[in-house]
Amino acid sequence: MLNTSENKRLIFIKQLFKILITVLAFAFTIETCARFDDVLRFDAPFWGTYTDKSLRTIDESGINRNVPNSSFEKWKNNSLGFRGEEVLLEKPTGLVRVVCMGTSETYGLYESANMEWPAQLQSLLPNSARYQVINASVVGMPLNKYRAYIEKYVVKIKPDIIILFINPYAYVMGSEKANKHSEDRYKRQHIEEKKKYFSFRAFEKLKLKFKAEVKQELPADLLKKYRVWQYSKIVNETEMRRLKNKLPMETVSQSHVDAFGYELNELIKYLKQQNIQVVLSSYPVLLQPGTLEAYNDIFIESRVGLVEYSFNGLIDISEKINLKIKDAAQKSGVGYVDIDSMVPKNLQYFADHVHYTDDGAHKVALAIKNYIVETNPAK
Amino acid sequence: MTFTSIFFIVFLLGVYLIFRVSPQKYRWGVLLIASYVFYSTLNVPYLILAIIFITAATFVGGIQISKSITPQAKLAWLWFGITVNVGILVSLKYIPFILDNVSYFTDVEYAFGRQIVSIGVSFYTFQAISYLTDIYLEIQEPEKHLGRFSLYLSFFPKLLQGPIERASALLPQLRSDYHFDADDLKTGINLFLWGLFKKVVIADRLALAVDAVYQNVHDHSGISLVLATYCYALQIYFDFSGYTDMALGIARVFNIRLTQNFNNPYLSTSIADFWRRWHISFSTWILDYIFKPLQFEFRKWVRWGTPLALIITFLVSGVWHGASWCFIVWGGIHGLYLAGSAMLSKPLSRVYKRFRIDKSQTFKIINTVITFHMVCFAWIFFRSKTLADSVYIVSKIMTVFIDITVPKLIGDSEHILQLLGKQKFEIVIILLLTALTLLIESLRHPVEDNSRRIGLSWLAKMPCWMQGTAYGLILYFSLFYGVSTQSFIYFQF
Repeated sequence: MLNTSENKRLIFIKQLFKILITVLAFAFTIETCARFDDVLRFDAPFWGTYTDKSLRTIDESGINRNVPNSSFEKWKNNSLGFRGEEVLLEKPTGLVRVVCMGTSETYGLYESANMEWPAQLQSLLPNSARYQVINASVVGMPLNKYRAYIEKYVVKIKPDIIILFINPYAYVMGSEKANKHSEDRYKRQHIEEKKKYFSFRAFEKLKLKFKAEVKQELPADLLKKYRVWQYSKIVNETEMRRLKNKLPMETVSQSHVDAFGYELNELIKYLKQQNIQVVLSSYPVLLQPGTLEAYNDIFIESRVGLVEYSFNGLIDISEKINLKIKDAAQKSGVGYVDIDSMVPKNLQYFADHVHYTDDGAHKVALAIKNYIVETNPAK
Repeated sequence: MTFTSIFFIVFLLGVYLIFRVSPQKYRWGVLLIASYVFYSTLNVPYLILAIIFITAATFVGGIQISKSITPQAKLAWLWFGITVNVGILVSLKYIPFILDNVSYFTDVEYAFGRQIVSIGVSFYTFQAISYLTDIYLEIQEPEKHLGRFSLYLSFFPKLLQGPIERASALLPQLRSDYHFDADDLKTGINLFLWGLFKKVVIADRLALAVDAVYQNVHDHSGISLVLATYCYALQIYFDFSGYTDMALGIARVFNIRLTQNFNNPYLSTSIADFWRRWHISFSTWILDYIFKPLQFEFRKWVRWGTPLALIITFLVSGVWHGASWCFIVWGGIHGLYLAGSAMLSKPLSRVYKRFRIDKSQTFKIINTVITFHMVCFAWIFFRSKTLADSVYIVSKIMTVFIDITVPKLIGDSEHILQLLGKQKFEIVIILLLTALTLLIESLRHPVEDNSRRIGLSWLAKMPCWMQGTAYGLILYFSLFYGVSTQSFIYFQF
């Protein structure tokens, strides 16, 4: 016979055990649901980790590229490592291949599935069977890596037109830092790999859901103040670490801009040698002297990866590099579309400083489509 | 702040913790402050003024009715209270409708009153009127404690969409001391989760199809309109009963049992049966405070008295639901249904008995199907944006059978299904969940024993690993298959 206190202890242990089993069953169920959901929704693997890291790699020659046949959520790479539908190596007669080269703004980040600007360009082009738009962009790739990438992966599909959408910040940052910055962006936006061997997908989904709910429910002003506080803290810490009491630069050095111009001219020369028509585009950014106050949270966030430059420095980079792109187009006689002047500087079109919403991507696609239709560079 | 928002969950947790640590005698105060804070999150300052004014007038009215010696004085105080309540209700809810109709006849546009909102007013004014009437009829003692009385009208779980609580049911619970009961807490959480699931996973998902069709009725075929109407019938049930479950669950956490509003209404075998199962707190209210006095008033017209009282009662019910001709017509249709059945009930029951079909199961099923379709027909008027839209839908549905073909039926059904989800598997899951929820709902306990009506009571009897699994499924689907942008349908009333 058990005495009363022992009896109570037994009941307590029994209750505790029941609670533990319930919690475990609960956790097991939501994790299983999350994994099944990924399988059904994105054709993701049930076992193992599932992250955006599977999308990109660096090949044996040190060139950044997308992993062939990889996918993560809305992003899908084909067997050649280009985002989107399968592309045949052999080009059918009469088909005009339009290859879009750029970084994350071209690959697509915030847009809905198939709403990144190259995908929209494909559907906007008249007589779309005549054109095949290929999204060959690679997240975080700076200009000095374009040639090697094009030579190795793009030339073999025989492009007729290459649209160069060059991210000035990726160039100024340098490839390693640009890659890291892009990775960070993806991590902030999407499920990140927590542990090498196991990740609790349901937890990550719940975290994102919670963040989205809070974002939706909180007053916009309060949310903005929080973002300003959050990113200011990161920027200040990074400034302390990297700048060591030096002030951030207010302008980009002329040598940097000249080097950019040189790299671009060399790339154009190479593409011309390959009989590829080149279309350059200015690089649209949200950050302008007139929009600084309204979107200060976004601008502080954009400084996270580039603390070496002040707000004025960031503006200076985009202005000078855009001038250089225009200048290169004029001097080399290649096509030029001033998209920067065509995308209105507000949040209907920009999801952050350099990435687009569906509407923003539509504006870019429309501008390029108009250029192609009007000038017919592949004729 | 709606029940489905994350901030409401945080708010509820906060209120519960403060409630638990507060001394017994101040707990009503915690709930009252929470209720006013909850109401103020709607950001409509005049609604707070309205509820304070109604509370004060009804409280004074109730005490004065009880204190008055002569019947004339009692009646005068009753009318004072009713006039204040109805006056505020009309000013907040019906001014735009009245001005719209005046504009129609006078060709003068009135901008005044367009922005007025009246969330919750219809519910607590009805509660206040029943309180005054019950005191006048001497079936209820007036509440002497202003704080508790304020809480009776404004208790936040039922403030925006009811249930319309009778004083005799709620006031004694507000007066009694709170004692922690683990079963009540568990039941409350179960009910809340079940309601959340019904609202965000089923109702709001169905709303995607319903809204797409009913926003532009002229762009859709007769079959699409029929399917959208069926979807609406399910949407409004899951939406409103989901809210009610959540309200009952929240109240239960504080040891308070609110009235159950639904009892499988779509299993009704007649329209009268439907009204015994749909929005029960409202239907019993209109029965007690409108229909019965009218029936008494019309008793001299033996044959027409009851049907006339029913038609008037349900026209008032239509007006209560909203300041629009669509709601009035909807009320009128239900009034006609009930008047018709009241007049035909005797001869029909003789026929049924004659052919011995009154107790047949098949006959019951046929009646259930017919009743469901009669209710759906009325829902067309309830959901349509304008009366012209309703008439168009009805005419289109009437002609649907003329040129119906199997490919057309499949095509239009696919079109409606595609509105429910982006991917095929998502649609399949939603359909399965809807069917499963309907099944679980139909297995719920009957309404007679209110204390046993607990949303997931079946869950409590399962082994703990199954409970954990069920909670996991409900939470996962609510969070990731839910559409949380829709507000509750009955907010507008």
